Amino acid sequence: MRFRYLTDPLFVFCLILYPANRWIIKPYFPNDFSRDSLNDVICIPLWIPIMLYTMRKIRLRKNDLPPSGSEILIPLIVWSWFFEAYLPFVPFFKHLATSDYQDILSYTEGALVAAIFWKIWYKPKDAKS
Amino acid sequence: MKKCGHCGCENPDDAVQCSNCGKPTLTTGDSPVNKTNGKEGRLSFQKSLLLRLGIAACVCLLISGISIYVAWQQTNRSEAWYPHELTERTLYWLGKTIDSYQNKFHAAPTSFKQLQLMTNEVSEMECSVTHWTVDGWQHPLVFQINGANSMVVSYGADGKAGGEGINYDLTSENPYSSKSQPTFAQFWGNPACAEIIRWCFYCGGMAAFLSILTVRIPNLSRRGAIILIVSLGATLMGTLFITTVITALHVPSGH
Repeated sequence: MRFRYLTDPLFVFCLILYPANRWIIKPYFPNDFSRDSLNDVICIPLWIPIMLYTMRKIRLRKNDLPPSGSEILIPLIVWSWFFEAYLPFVPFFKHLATSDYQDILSYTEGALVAAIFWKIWYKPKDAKS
Repeated sequence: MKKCGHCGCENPDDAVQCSNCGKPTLTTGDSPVNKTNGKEGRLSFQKSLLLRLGIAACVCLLISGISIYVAWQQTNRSEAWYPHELTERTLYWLGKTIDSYQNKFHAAPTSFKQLQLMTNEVSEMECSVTHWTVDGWQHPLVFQINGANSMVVSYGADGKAGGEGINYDLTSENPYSSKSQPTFAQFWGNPACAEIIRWCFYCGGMAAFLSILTVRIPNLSRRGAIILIVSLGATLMGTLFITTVITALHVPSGH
């Protein structure tokens, strides 16, 4: 089954969840998970479809299959290192980015959930039944 | 299992185009080209399994390594190093008190007793310094008089002169020295950090599971390997582009 990129249900769900968390959940239903981890959990399922859509448009991607292992693992490794181990120590971004090992755990959880979802959702219909 | 006639990558039976090169040139395993006998098939499966496990182990090491490095940097100033933090705070206020004493009496103090007289001048001393003569590890603080100046010294966690990390000697003149940050070995050996390190490995294990779940082994012939490298390079370029976008979004949003 063809990957739906910007109309992928998980992407759309995360796209709705981000503003809902920022303007509804955090101020009116404050809790530790939505304050500290939710944005990091939805990072991979939100940004990978955008990345693959951009790559497809500029012909860096040759197929419309759901994200492959490397397309999930490379962003997970690069973003974990860049946003947690590098950026918080760059003087200009010191006050904007916070280094936290639990953020990496959240990225990984989000990536795992997304990979399982995409594996199930994009299974061809005859294979599902 | 379908095999790509272009790059040789193995794809699921339901695939219509190759997951590696995107070409629709897939043939079933029954085709004469891919027909293998049972022994060859088993060997190929074992090889593929070993490769997948190898990739998963590398992913586990990378993610655990990054997490542990981040945790090491993050816990430098945390409850895990409470005696260190207490020593820094005590020395900072003792330094302030020495300055106040010198300003008031135009002479360097020579003992802790003289400094204790200054609590009226530096009121924070009463609440910030619980013990005047010992550091956070309960080792005695040393009063050093150097001509017209005096300072208080803590010999660190080991209570001996010299050392690195939390064993580094702190003084009231430089209580927050960057050289006193815990070394990696000290972080690794601190029982208060054991739980954090366990979580980092748990994170690596989860990434390894993700790798086993999603990674497929392509054909590693010369042509297949070139296609794989190009495809990984393209993914890396796409990742770096999105990294730039997310970094730029940090600036106006404040995080």
